[in-house]
Amino acid sequence: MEQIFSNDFHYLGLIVLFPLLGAIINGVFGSKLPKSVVDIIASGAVLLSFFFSILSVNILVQSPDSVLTYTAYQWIYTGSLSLDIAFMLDPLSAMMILIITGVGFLIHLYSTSYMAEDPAKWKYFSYLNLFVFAMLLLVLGKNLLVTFIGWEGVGACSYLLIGFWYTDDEKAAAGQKAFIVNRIGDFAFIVGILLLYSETGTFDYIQIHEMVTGSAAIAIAPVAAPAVILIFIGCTGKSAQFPLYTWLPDAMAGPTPVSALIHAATMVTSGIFLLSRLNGLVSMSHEAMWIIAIVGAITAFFAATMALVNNDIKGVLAYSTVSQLGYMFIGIGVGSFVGAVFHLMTHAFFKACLFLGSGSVIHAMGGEQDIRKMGGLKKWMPVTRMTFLVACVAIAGIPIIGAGFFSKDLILWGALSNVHAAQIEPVAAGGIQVQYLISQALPAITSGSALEIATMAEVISWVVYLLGVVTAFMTAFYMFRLYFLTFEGECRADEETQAHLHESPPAILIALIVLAVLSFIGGWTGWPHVWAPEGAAHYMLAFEHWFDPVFQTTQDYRIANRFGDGYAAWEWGSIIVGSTMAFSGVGLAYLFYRKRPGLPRAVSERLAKVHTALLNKWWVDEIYDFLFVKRAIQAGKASYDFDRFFLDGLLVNGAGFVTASLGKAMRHLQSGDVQRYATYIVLAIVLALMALL
Amino acid sequence: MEITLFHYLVLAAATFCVGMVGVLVRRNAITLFMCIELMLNSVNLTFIAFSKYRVDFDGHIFAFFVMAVAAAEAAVGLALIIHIFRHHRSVNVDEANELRL
Amino acid sequence: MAIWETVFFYIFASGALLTSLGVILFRNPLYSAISLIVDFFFFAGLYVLLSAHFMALIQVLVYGGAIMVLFMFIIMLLNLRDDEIERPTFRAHYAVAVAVSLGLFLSIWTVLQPLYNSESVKTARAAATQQYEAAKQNAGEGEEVATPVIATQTIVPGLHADINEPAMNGLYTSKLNAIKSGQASPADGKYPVVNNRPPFVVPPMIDPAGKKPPKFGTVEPIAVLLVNRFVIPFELTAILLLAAIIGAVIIAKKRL
Repeated sequence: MEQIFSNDFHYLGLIVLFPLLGAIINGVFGSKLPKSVVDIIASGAVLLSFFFSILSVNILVQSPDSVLTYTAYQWIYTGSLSLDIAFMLDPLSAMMILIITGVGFLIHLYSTSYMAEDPAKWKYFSYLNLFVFAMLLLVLGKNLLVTFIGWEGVGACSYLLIGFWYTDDEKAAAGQKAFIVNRIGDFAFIVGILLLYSETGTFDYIQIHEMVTGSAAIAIAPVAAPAVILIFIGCTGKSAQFPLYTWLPDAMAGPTPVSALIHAATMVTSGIFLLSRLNGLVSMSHEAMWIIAIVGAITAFFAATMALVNNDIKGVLAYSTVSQLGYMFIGIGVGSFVGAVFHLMTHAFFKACLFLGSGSVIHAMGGEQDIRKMGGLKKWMPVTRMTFLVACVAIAGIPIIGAGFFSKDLILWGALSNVHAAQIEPVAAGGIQVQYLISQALPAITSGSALEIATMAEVISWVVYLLGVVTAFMTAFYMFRLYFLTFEGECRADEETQAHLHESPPAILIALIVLAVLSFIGGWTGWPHVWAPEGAAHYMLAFEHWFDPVFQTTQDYRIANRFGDGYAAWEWGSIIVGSTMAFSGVGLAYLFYRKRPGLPRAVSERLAKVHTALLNKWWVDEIYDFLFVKRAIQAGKASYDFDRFFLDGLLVNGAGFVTASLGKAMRHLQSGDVQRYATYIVLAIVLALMALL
Repeated sequence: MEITLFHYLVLAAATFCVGMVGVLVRRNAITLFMCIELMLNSVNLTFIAFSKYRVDFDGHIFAFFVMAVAAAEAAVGLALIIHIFRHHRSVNVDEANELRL
Repeated sequence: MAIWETVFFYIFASGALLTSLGVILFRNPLYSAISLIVDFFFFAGLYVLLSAHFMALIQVLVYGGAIMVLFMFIIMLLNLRDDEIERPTFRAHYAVAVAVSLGLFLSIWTVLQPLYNSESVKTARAAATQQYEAAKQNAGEGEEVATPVIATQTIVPGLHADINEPAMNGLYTSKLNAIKSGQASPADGKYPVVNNRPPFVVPPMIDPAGKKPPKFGTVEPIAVLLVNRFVIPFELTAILLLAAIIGAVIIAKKRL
């Protein structure tokens, strides 16, 4: 990666600026402006941003193997520390800004109609624009600190928007929960950043990347694992991974477009983005990658089980989001960064579409979210239903017509063929000389444990792969359960609601249709390798090729894998297993909820215990409540008693007595004469100075 | 007899200390303010001296901003004095001792 | 040549010290104010000695003019009666105040002491004078003799203990030339070099043709810095002044 255009690429500043301006204008003057103007300012800001994103990406496409950067402001220079508010555009951030501004614009458009009745619409749009601004900072940041500012900014906006209807205590509490849980992660994140800084002496991504891929890698190797794990803990908070995922389902308290934009398409994927951004560093530590893969797999699996029985239309989607994010972390954990990012993109399309579809349904149902009270909605809402179906197909991973198939397959194939696992051995044997792997495997070689590590990695890859496959099956099942219960069959709503059912207004439908089209074709940029003939590979694997400058692994990934030259059969196997899982999940859902509606009850009665566990979300909230919240309250009570009897009784009153007596003696010092106080201050300063000299 | 950086810095320190004594001792609020201006001026002198002896303009810029802040401070401070005068019919800081409990 | 700098320094320095003592010793604030005005003029003189012509001008305009007029105005406005004038009373903390001020001065003195070596300054000056005299004797009638360059370093890198105008001109010109030829950037040592293009241009201190007098400390380079590198603080100053004006009006008005 080389830097071109030095720092003059002003478009990046403009991309970030427009949403900020929109937020300021709407935030300051919004309450005075007519609603239509508020709409235009908010959507227009994001549209302009999108326009400049396209221009910038176009320039990036024309200058391959380069990074466009722009230093907006020189922020801090003291000694060795130098910090800029600087932005960089490389293939990774290019994809992210297109998603953020593109999907963001559609969601703004949708919101103009969805929030039309809300009296605080201007506030909503101000927050939403501010969110887009923070998210753009996060992805465009040239150094970790700018990313961190964006990271905290999106957290704050998320809090504001979850608790947007703050008069409802439950919703306000959900906002606080999201914020506090995120803080836990953020603390680890900043510790990770500082640890990295203490070793590398820089926050700059490009410099870090050069260090970890160059000869400095050996020096950084010892801190790679702790730094990556700490940053990953930050990602588990923001990207809702086990064990910090609990805030995301509650976050559905916010307006539905917010759930679509923040809690599905963009903010929650920032963990994936960050780890991909630091891919060189991440791949230096196999331990950290194993942890990431396992946490991802566990999250994907458990969240999917919870989605199986949830009856809240947004709840299912929320757990599904957690589960899909788990997939992306699997991708990172097994070294298939491109798979993770690919799934990030397709997921942004279809999950935004699903959320907006659900919002459309909720709107039509007059605020009802329980899918048991829906059904047969296709009669009233044909467009919503079609787009929802397309998105369901995409997330379920139906081959070719579902974008999710391609990305999920890439991740699962990544787990199966884990290059990461396979290449430790050849490196140890002096085989493939891949720069980052040399640095990564050095400790292993010197300790002579390369073979053990490789074996361990294979075991983990298999576990992760199997969990992923089961999750794929569950995903197809619960998504089509949701679809059948909502749109097919007889309507179970009461008369009054039925009378009010209607298709949503055009602004909502346009957003839905565009997203549905994207989720239909979005996957066609990355076909399975075995399907891509020699000549067409460049186009059929466009997504992977696009990321060549960012992910070093990609190139090696295509060349070598665990199965060597005979990988084609394995990949075919992976595709077939994945498709089978998707089809059988859909089939089972059809059987349960269309053909034999009595079955679900029978099954849940047979598996009563499991069903209860799932309904109660494995009691995770309760366990946290018992483990942390209760303990905290107990500790509070204990300290209260300690405070009352020991501190207050003995120390404070005792001290109070002493102080009172002393005070009587020394009251003359406090004369109210400011100059006398100033004299004491200067006296103290001079004494301190003299002590120092 | 050569004049060096050292001389300027010592002179600045001396006037600074004189100003400080004034701030600590005088009770007339207006004089007190003048002493503060005196201290600010001594600091400006060090800035400009350093600027010359480093062959660099940063000290000038600093001094420039110090003057701007001093002007702002004088405006607000004198307004406060007028206010205090209206309240106590006096500009003696001893009168304005509401800080005492 | 050198003797005049010394003479004027001591005139201005003693004047500044005496008048600043006057500020704190006069009992009548009006006398204090007049003393302070004179003090500011002495400071302006010192700035001229330091080649800070622009700052000297501003010192007279802003301090001697604007701020002190404000002070005088307030003093006249309040029209303090005689019994308002401070009685010379002694309080215990006065002694402390004088003592700590002395202590502060001594602390600064001890910090400054190792900053330079008076011997090296003396020898450098003596050598330069000798060289100058020698050159003068060798030179023919009517020939201009270049003033020797004096620049004595301190222990702090980049900071000189003693420097004269030719040395300053030379140093500054070489800095500018280095920037022009791309070997250095105005940002060197202060700002990271993000690219080779200087973030701003500092105009030459001396006229290449040698027609105009030296420019160090004049309006031009300071203006260039203020509207380039320091533009944001500069604008913020405007806001600060605006806030001060509004604040002063609100505080001083009886009722709005």
